[in-house]
Amino acid sequence: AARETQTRPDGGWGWVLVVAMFVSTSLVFGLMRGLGIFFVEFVQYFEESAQAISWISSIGLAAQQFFSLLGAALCNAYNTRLVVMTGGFLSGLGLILASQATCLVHLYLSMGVLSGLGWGLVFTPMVATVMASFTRRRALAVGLGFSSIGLSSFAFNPLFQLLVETYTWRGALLILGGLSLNIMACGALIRPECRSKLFVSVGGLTEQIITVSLLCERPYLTYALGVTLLNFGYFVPYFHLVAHSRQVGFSEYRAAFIMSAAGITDIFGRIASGWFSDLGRFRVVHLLTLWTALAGVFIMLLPVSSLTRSYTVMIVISLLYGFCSGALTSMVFAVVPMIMGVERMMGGLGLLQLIESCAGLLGTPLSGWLRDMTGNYTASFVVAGSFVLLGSLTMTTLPHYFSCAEPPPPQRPVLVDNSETLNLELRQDGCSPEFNHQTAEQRER
Amino acid sequence: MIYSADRNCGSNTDAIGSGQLSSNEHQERPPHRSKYLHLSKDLMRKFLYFIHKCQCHVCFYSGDNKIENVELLNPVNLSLECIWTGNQNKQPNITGYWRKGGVEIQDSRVPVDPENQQYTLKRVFNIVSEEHLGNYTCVFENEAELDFILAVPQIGERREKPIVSYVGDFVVLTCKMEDNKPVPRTWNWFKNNGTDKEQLFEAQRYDITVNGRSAKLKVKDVSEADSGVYHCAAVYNISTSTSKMHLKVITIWEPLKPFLSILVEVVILVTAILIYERSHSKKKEAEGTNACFFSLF
Repeated sequence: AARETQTRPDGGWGWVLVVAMFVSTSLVFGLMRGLGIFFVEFVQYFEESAQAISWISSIGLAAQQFFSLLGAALCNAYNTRLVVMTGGFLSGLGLILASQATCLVHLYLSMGVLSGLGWGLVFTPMVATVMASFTRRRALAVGLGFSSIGLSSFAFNPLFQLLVETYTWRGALLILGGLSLNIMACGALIRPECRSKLFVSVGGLTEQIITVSLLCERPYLTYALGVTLLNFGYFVPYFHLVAHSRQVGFSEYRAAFIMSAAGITDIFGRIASGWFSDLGRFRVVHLLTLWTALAGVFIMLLPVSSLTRSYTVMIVISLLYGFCSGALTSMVFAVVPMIMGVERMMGGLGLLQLIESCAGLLGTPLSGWLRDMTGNYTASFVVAGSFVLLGSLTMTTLPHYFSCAEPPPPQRPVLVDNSETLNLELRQDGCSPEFNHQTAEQRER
Repeated sequence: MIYSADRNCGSNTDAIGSGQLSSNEHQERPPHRSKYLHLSKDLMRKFLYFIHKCQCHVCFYSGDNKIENVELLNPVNLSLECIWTGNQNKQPNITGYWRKGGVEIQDSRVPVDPENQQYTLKRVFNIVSEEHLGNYTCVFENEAELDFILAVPQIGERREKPIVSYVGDFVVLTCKMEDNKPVPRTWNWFKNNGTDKEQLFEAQRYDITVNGRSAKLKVKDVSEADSGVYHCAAVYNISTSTSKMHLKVITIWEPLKPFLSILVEVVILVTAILIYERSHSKKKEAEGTNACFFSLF
């Protein structure tokens, strides 16, 4: 059946969806970043090692990344609204069940698998819906939506500390489960007529071939390896920094605010790096390696700065780390279409998330294990930082890295077939705003 | 700083107390020959006005700050020494005396003559039990005074906020003596019962674990009657040091209240959004501009 290619009018209901994305992203990633507070409580209550507790959040993270592809596929098969509302329900249910946990395995399954599945069904569809609702203002809309991560990370850390102090972790998780159910309200705002066109039909055989062919290409493999290495270390501060600060001797709220500080500068990092890369003075890959390297250095400096036992120094390093962390996230997105070409972007992204979910799964427990072995978090953070640095170095091995001009994106022949794939539509609409900018730039050169 | 002396002052470092001083003293000590324990030169330099040697049964202590804290574990003959450097007046003699708890100690008045422009006041106190602990002051009459606070090592971490637990769950109360303080002989746990303190013993619902510097009280199957103030007591030979904490027991209803209100809010929001959309799309159908039909699934 022929489908009209409508150019979405910017604005109107689109901005309502931006608000929905803002709220849902904060309840997914902002919430995930606040789990460091619960880490301390779990270690005390269950009297388990740091490594055993770390699996909870890492399973949740890995599940979110792993099920992203599933979320994308389900949206195409069913209704985006239904998928997001189900995701919201599952993530809330997972946290509610976690509040009744009597052993670690309960937490692994509820807070890890179930909530992770819910988060996976929420995040990618929500982002894609917003991207589909805008053409000219896409960058602004998506950027506004993502800014919620930093803001909520800032607000949630002291809030979670307060909840834990008033209701213990059980009551706090119950309330968080309730808060997560608000994602269902966000999902309800998605109108059925706004069916996103950016979703890959994973059922299509041709699409699968295209996606798998990515694995044979060196640029993609290099990039995937770099992002995987990055993932090993990237999340460690979010789950362990609060515990580390408490161990150094700071009180509960001071430790929570160290984490919040990283959240504030995360917002600025994202915006600043997006603006800076738009200036066009430097190649996106170069900026990516720069921010990644800096983030790795600051992660390593976190335990070093705590040796000074100075609160100010820790806050400063945390601010710097948050900035680089946000900055590199913007760049990671922007590099993708350059490596894969526009046609394969969605499938490639899904595959990338699948690959990096292993690193997300293993990174934090590794850090926890190091803490158990050494007695403090110094080794954990140094190792995490070095993984991030390694990821940065890996990306310097991308082809044409050292040339000043952007190499042409790989061209793929268009496969015309009858199944409803999005190849044609993708070429017409364009994808990420960064890609749009870059092709325009190339035309100018 | 911790001082004490034991019968076997020359061979037992535990009696001295733990922390930086004792380890250094241990290294510098000549083996079994001298009854004196020497401080390393480093520490001598650090504490300029502190002169202390440990002799069997007696510890010396002197200071130049306004208040000195002296931590004691065992009964000891403690010698306290105050050195005052004088002022412009250069009086030939001054009366010095000692106070305990603000009250002048009988027969403690002595005349003090300056030696090398310094006035020294020294006295040996026999500290045997708890009533001998307290606030001792050496006074150079009308000129200067210095306080010595003699006490058992205090438990460092104080938990200001109440510990919360749920009915039917278990809760663990912990007390820990800092690493640089000596290990208590034993630990006891108490609970406030009206105006009295009632000691808790290992029982069906209570699990007490003592591990040198730390003590844990695990209360199983908590009920609302378990709410209240608990004390942990670190017992030393000379006295006991306590710390208190507040246990608050709540039912599941406490967090359930905000949870249910959030639930209600979500239901209202979702219903409102869906109703609004239904009416909106009906309007559009009526106008004939709506290509899609409203559906939830």
